[in-house]
Amino acid sequence: MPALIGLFVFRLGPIVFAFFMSFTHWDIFSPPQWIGFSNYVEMFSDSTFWEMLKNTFIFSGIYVPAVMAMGLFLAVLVNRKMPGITSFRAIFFSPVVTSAVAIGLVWGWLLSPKYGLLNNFLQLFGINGPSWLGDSKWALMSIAFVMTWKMAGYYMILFLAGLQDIPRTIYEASKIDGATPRQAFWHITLPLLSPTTFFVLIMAIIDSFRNFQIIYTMTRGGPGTSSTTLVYGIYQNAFVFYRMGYASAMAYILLAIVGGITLVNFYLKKRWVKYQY
Amino acid sequence: MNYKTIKNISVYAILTIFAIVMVFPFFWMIVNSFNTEQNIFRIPPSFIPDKLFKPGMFDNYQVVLSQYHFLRYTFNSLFVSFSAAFGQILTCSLAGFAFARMNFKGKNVLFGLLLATMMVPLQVTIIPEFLLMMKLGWLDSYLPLIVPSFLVGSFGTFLLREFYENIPKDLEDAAVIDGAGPFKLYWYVFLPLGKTPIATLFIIAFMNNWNALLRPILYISSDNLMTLPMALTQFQSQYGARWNLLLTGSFLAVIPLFIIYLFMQKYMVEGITHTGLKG
Repeated sequence: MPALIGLFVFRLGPIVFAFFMSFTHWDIFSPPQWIGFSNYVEMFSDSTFWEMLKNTFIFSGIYVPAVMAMGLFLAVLVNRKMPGITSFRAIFFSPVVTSAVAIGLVWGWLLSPKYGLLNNFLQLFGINGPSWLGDSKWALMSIAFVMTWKMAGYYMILFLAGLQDIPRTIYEASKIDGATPRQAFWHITLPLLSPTTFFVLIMAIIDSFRNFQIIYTMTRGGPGTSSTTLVYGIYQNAFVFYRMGYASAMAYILLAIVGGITLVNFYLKKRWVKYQY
Repeated sequence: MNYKTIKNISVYAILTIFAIVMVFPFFWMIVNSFNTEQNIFRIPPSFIPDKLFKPGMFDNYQVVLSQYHFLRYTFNSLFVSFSAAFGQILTCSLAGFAFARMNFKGKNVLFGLLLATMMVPLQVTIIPEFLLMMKLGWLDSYLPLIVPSFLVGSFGTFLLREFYENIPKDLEDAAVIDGAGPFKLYWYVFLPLGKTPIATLFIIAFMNNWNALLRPILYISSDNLMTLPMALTQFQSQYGARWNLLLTGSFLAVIPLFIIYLFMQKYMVEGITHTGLKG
């Protein structure tokens, strides 16, 4: 099956090609010019780039802990034998399978400043809700919230698989020793869940960099650049401003971050993950 | 009431609250798809749509489907997603078979590279891909939406390799003794045995392509080739204030996957948990 090897060219080729492109100036319409490190130099002196980077990390800083906490909470909640529990699991998972565009649209409507349900609801308590997507203070946070809402069910399923791997006998033993459910959670569940938590952490971080669709539907990176993350910035530079070389350089920064985080995680894993039951 | 009943009731109460939070946006989509433009802008918002069970109840659907070509977009989405999912099962099962059962030079290195590409966000490779599609003259056709799926996907290969590795060696030996070559072995033994993971892969690939946005907005420019999510974003930028129609369209984009999810839940959830990866 040597033909298969050819297929890899299509996956790896673009990654290598993008690397070379990041050293060029290219607007698609005229041939690319080799400009060495200029793209990188420009990028590091451009305040917009730093803002995108900041937004990316703020977004991850909100999204990753939020979605992991929600996922774990829901997983613990549905990890029991009760009638109807599978329906609840199915409901919690359903936003995961639906189109991010449709979700972005309906949340955009729910969060709209004047007619949106949320602000009308807050009005009942005398609170004047902000323009969630139109205010640069709130836009990124609102997107992180919607993405958490969409993806919580996914992490719930991952955590659930981990929870079900913990032998019941350990809980029974701890009960006999007089442990409260809370103690059992902190001293048994969490440590034994750590391989899953580690895996979920990597997935959530990488997932947090792929938030293109919701940003595109809800704010288009705005207002200003207040919700432009790296992923959205790459799209914008490449296909709105036609700066292919510059966007490739940004893409490589993104790649370096993703690669770096994966490596750091694998290194840390040795330190805090308990494997033995 | 004893302690256990109280505990159960409170668990159900919490479950119900979260279920409402999860379902509400979908409910709101449906409610507003039965609203007129006047009613949707009412303050405070009304929970009872003004066209529900009245003549012209499906007006929004009619307008969206025929006047704004959503019927066509639905067809495009279906066509693209089916073809792409078919491409995935074809190439991933071949590649999975090769990685599980054949020996060739550099196999482990290649598999390692394949797994590494799983982590790479699409935005990193999309620019060269776009230029390639432009060079090939494929812009504004179905091809750039479908063909990438015919090139090995890392998720699917990983899933199927895992499955194929667990197929007993005896089965393979028996087929080889009967004179089956690698291709026959794949076609008559491995492919039929792998129905479950292939169904899983098909559904996940279908879902990913149905929901995809970046490739359509880059590659498609004519109206009659747009997919549903792309059409929604276009509609949004042109008629941003027509929320009743926008939410009707969103509902149309959501409902086919919901139906598939309802029946194929097991495959979908299993596939996603199995490797913890999408796309």
